[in-house]
Amino acid sequence: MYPDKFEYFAPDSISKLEQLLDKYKDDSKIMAGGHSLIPLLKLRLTSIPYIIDISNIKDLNFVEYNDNLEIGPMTRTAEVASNKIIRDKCKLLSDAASKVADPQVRNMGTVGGDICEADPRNDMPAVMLALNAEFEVTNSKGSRIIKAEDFFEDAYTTALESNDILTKIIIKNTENYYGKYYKYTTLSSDFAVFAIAINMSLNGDKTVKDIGIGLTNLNNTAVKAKDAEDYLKNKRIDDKTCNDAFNLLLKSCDIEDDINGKKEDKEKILKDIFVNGLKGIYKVF
Amino acid sequence: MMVNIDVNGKEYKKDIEPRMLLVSFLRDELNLTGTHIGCDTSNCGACTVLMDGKSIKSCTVLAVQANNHKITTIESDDPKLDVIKQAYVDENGLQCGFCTPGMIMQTFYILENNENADEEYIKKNLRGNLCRCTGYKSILDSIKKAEEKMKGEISVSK
Ligand code: FES
Ligand code: FES
Repeated sequence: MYPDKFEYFAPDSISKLEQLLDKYKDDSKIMAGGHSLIPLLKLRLTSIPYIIDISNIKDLNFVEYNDNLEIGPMTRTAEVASNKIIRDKCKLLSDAASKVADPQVRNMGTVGGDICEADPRNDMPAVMLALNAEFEVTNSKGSRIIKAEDFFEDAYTTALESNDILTKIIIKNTENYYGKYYKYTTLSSDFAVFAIAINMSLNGDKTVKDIGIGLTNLNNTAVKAKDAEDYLKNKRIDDKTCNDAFNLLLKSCDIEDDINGKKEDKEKILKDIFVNGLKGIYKVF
Repeated sequence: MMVNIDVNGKEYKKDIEPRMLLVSFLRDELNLTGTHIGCDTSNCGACTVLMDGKSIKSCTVLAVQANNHKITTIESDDPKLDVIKQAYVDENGLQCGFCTPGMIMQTFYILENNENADEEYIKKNLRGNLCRCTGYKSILDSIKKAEEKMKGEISVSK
């Protein structure tokens, strides 16, 4: 299968990238690892006249920690999974990255591509929502910050304009947090049937200080289980609070019968995963 | 577009269309047909090759993305690959052989990254490679055999 014809650019700096985006606007698209884009091009579900490969831009590939964890969008998923700083500072992110697709795909795929593609089945959007991450977005006119919460608008649709570049992923909720990514898949696919990202910190009295919950493939796009998060704050994790939180979490979901199962079966599995996940993380503290 | 791609230690300068996939570049431009196309949709791993030592699915990578990078394929004469190939022969790690080039390249990647890969690690890292014939048991045996042999040879040479 061959993609439709396109012109290809591989700029080596952000300013050159900005120029190209300003010139070709909606006719262009940024390609990071290409593992969402190339399949779509091959199936001719989309056709893009100007493809701009950002893998040569060194300023988009970094992992740093100075008070906050800062990650360049071009960081490969395999690197996110194994990077020592990320492992130390953000268990949820390294756990989730290690569960993306398969090793070959992780070697090419990038964290930024996973976020910006915003496929509802992608793993990173829900993780970013659970982490309350912030995105530095840049275009030729300057930079601004968009919160993960305001970023994912619909399936394959984000707050990015056609000339915007995701230049930095900023994660503040690292110290004293612990989290995990619970991904439910069938054997035949590496995409999640659904998944839950949870990031938690506790008060001295063992009540929840802060919690972030992101949901993959349970709605048109990744969503934050806000009501469940708010409810759990300052509470202990026990059977009752888990149950109540799950009922609130369901409000953020739009679950239907589909090829993976009936609505009620999926809800049952989701509940098991959520409750065991919450309790599992709680026990670690 | 002009590209300069190192394949198995040899540099190839070619003028190609940007939409050419790496797997087609290898098979059709260089006539290196050992790398197979199974699913053509990044599921099966038959097209696995290494780029700068990391395994990738060459059906989902544009040849232009490999510009100025090093590609290693099943045709490489790296002696470690010979050990792996022999282990697949010894342990019947193949039947029809269609998945085998991808399996062997992923095996190479696994053993290069972890000298002490246990069964769990190997299974996890074979997630991206499908085989329709063997049922995987003999593939696992082949990988373990290759691993033992490599360890043996390292300690002998020490
Ligand atoms: S042919 Fe590339 S993964 Fe199947
Ligand atoms: S040996 Fe036939 S597909 Fe693996």
